[in-house]
Amino acid sequence: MHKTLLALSVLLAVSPPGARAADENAACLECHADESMTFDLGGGLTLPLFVDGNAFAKSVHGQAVACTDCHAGMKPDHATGSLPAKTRHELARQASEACRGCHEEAPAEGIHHAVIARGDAGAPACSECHGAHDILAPGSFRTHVPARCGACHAKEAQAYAKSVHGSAIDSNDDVPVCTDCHRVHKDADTSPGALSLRTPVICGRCHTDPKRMAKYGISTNVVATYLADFHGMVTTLQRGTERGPGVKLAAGCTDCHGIHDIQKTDDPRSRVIAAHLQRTCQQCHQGAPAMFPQAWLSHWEPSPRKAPAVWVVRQFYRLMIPFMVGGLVLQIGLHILGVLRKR
Amino acid sequence: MSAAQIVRFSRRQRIEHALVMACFVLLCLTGFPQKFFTHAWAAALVHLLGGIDWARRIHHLAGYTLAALTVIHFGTGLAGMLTRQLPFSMMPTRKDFEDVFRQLRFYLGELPRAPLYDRFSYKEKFEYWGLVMGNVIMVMTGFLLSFPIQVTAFLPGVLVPAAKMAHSNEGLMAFLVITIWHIFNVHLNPDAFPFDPAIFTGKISRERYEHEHPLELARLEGRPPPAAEAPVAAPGPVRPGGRVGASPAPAGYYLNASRWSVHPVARDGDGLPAGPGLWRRVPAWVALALVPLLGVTFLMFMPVAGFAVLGRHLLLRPGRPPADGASPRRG
Repeated sequence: MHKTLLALSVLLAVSPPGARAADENAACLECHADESMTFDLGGGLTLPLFVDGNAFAKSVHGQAVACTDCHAGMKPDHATGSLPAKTRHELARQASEACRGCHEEAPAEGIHHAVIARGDAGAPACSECHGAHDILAPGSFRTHVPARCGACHAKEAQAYAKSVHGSAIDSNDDVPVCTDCHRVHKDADTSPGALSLRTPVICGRCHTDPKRMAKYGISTNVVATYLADFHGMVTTLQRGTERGPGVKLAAGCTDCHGIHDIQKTDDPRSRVIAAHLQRTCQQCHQGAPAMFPQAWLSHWEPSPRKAPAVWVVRQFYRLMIPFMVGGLVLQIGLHILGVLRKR
Repeated sequence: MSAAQIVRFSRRQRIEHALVMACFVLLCLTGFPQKFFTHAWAAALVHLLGGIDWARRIHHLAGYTLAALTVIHFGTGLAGMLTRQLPFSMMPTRKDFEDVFRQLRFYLGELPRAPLYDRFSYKEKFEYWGLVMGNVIMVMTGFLLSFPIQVTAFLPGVLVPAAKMAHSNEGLMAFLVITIWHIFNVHLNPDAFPFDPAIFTGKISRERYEHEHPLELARLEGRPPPAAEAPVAAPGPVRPGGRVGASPAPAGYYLNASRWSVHPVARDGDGLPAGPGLWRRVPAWVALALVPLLGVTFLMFMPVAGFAVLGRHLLLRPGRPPADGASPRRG
């Protein structure tokens, strides 16, 4: 009862603009439902003018936004008009201004904005990622993300599709899609190596989450053990350093595990299974011999079973340092006591 | 002025100390930010040094210098011992083990007098052996960490993280021992406070020498030891157990088993040290092996001694001995 009332009141509240939009959009679709309709942009480029009315109706804007809210200034008799753009991309960038008419708060930063600011006009505009007539509510299109990004980043999308993350995307909400690692509206640092240096943080968002990792029996200690090792120390101290001629960055997660093609650590395709590890080390450590990879404890904490030699050294110093320093401090204490006693 | 000053450290020793000190400071400055890299001060210090790559370059340069100094030190020391020109004055002897107890018991008021010291007191010997043995560990593990690819060509890779664990911890221990033990005993102790320049000038006033190293001073000046020592047999012929102290002896190495002391006789007929116990001639390798063996044993003994003396004091509460204070028994 309560729910019905609520739904009714919502319907009533939105119905006036909704009704206007519906009327207007129906009018537009009289022509634009024609799948063969195109516009000649010149230079051999054509712009399809077909709009899928059903897809739009299901989209986040479908019930409340009228065509002219975005396509401002379009009159019913624009059929022979012209467009102020020579490519679809240019058109999409102009349309981004229309998005801003409502979405004032939309972030004007992020990797693509940074690319545009760098002078690269090829970076996508709002509709080229989010879609135009088929925009879905945020969070409801996770599984579409790789395809959207893949429209431009095809090589990465293909590698991702075969990876441990990408291959599970349809059945598993835990695996990251492109935007979980590449947070497009947040991470704007395009300097070489910036992303690689941040991989312990990026991967750590999921891989240190005990709830999520327990399902797969994956250790949440991976970041801590990485940081405890040489590579982790160097990447931490290299924060803000740019990769460049003569400047090498220490290995982050993806340098060993792979980026888009990351696999389970027991998958024969994995770069970090024992059979491939030497080659993986050699990416940076030229000429690393067969025993070299043992220098890396594979994210294990030293223990009597794993790396006992390291464990023994650690235990020795855990006892020796307090014993030695404590013993000396005691002797100094007795010395001072002796001096005070004589006074 | 100069008559009242005694040269304690040669020019070479002073230069060696200055270089070791410079290396040590640089190694700490560039090493600890790597050990404690998560702290803000570490990042700031690394930034100041021009980034982690520069910090590591400086660390390596200072490390190689210290390694070279260590090798030179061992080389000259070994040559000096093999030619029997170098006295075994840095080797801990039974007197040093006993001096620790006597000095600490003196601090606690259990003994009326502190022990008298020869060229190096037990505190200095501990410092020396701590540095030398620490250096051996640091140089070996540092070398392993510098050349992991070459090392793992013929040794297991797990040695690399083990070496890193040892390098980082031994470095911390060295830093703590130097800042606590060395700085206190050399500079902050009430006799020297606030600063003892002897290692930089090489000289110490005779008055202070008399106070700190009376046994050595007496020997330098050809006097008998100042304090009453245990009665000593007169020099004489060889006895079944060896030679009596102060007797002339053929060239070679002599071990005094009751004093845990080794003495090289450079030329036939030179005298053995005066004092109790019999000196028996031993092969060179025995003499040379005893040096590091006693050095390491003494290192481990030192922290135990403090706890032992304090524990005994708290348990038994031994009273002060009579005022005349029987002189400490010696081997």
